[in-house]
Amino acid sequence: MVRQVIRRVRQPLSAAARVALVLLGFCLLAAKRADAQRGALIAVSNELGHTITLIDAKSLRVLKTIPVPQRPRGIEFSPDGNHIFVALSDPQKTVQTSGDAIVSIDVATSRIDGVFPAGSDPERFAITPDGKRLYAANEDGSWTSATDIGTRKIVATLIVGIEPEGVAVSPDGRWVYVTAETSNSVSVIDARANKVVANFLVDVRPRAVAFSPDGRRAYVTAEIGGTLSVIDTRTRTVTHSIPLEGRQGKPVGLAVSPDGKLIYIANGTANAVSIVDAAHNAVVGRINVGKRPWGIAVSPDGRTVYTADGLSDSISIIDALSRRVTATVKVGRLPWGVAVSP
Amino acid sequence: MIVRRLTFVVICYFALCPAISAQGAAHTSLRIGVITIGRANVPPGAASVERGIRLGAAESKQTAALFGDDVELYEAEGAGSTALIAAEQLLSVRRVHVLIGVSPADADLLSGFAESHHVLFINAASRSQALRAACRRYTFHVEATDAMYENAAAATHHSPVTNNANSSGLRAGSQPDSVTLWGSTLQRFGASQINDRYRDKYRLGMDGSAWAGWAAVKIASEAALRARSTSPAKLVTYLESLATQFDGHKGWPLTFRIADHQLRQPMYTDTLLDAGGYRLTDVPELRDDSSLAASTDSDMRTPSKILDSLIASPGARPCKWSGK
Repeated sequence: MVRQVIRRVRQPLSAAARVALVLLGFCLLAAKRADAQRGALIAVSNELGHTITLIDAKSLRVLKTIPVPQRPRGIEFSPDGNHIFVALSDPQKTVQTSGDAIVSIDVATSRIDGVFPAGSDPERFAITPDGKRLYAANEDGSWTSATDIGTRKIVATLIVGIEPEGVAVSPDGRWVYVTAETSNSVSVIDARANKVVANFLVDVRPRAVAFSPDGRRAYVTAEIGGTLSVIDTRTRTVTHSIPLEGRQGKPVGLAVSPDGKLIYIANGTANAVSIVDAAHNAVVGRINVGKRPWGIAVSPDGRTVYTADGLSDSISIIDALSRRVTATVKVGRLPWGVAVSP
Repeated sequence: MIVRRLTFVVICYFALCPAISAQGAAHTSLRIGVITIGRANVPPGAASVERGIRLGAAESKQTAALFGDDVELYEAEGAGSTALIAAEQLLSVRRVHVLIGVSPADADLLSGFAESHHVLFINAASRSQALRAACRRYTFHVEATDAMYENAAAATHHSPVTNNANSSGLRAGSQPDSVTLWGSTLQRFGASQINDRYRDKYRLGMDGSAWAGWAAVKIASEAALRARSTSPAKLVTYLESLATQFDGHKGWPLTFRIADHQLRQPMYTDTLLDAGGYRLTDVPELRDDSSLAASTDSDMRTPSKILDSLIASPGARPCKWSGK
């Protein structure tokens, strides 16, 4: 029996089997390369410098400093990682000009290759998981613009609370949450119907919002309230209000770990990141970073956290396991947002 | 059996009815009455308070609409004894829940009227310590006291910032030229946004009086939204709660001091620069301080405790309701 098996193995492979093996090897290599490239790039928007800094996540070397024509704030990678989207605002507030837009930068060429109208003074925005639409908070209006990325046209303008700020799309792409700083509200947009279907109150002066990976929860920072609101997305109610930094840290940006177990919050005036355990709704860690961290992002493998430290003109690189800052990288003037390639 | 079923249905109907109607009546409409002082010879401060109130009402209406609620603003003219007639009209005809006056001279009269009629009075104009000492439960003060203005000026005068002309550009050892609740050049914590909205509406910069009017309406309408009630008594309870706080675009959580219903808030000093122009300095200074995170509620470093030092007024006694 054993001899028979050995004989079979020693038999030369058929042509079809050889092709199949080559293809399999090719696929494995491609997958490995794609995996290696996940989280390979860090992009930072420098509000005062009017630039985007592109950093190699492995070597932490600044690859490019890309000038943009206006004040950049919100920054996100496209779901395929080929583009960086950046919200630009001109100095003329409350008036929509050609300077107010969201632009896309081709990662390969580092050039702006798309301009998307997004209402006046766009700040934070979110891209749907299918990469087809983006939702932008128009801070000086009280609305959110839905822009079709393919046609580059605004397809809906939705009334939300006053001074809209944070935007997040649920992992299934169905719901969009928009915070409003003056109204202390979160508006829920049905992305299929492009309609606001609910509003609810959160703590004082809400800023950023993010969903858990399973979409069952959403998290909202409250800058003046000094808390993280935990929201049950089924009932659209605040289930927990978690005080951060003695309620005095001015929390702004937040990011959820890929496994949904931890939430990282950037506390602007405390110069620190709070770590919240999602299962227990409790603060379980604190990491000192640079001055006035606002933007925050987690790598796709969950091992690294990045903060944009506005008044330090740098970003902090945090090892998620040891919960320590392992490096800082100088970027442009007044870094606002940070994003990691998917 | 049929009778039992019918009885069950009837019981269920009456049991559910209040819940159903309560759900239907859950939407609130807060009615705010403003006593203005006419069109002629209006002092600048009163005109600013009025503008702030109108902006606040427009914004509060917008926020309330998100939740199916409403905020309505009614105005009536009156000064001195006619201010009371105006208040009476607003109460009897418009059935207002909240009164706001634009003139400091009428604040005490209106506060007394509100107390006797159990409606809320938000003081957006008077700095009088005597008005605070009157201890009226239905009165809350957004405007600061004279003592607060003096304390803010003194704090700036003694701070190292103003005594160091070389680094700050301020005149060495100079007193601030004015103290204010707000400045049209403020930027942080959404200050530029509210300044832009005010400028868009009136083509004027927002000053301290305008901020007080805007904040008075925002506070009253936010209280109604959060408390899910327009009942003045419930609004008083909400405003007195230790958990209640507001955002006034000043970077600090704004709360009412239980002792006298005075709003705890930072102020700003306006000081002439050597090179010309003015610099607004916030008092107390809001610092980036990671050590604040370690503070507890009993700590002197909590925002309320820090802001209380600004309210301090010699001889002021806490009202009886505060239990102190």
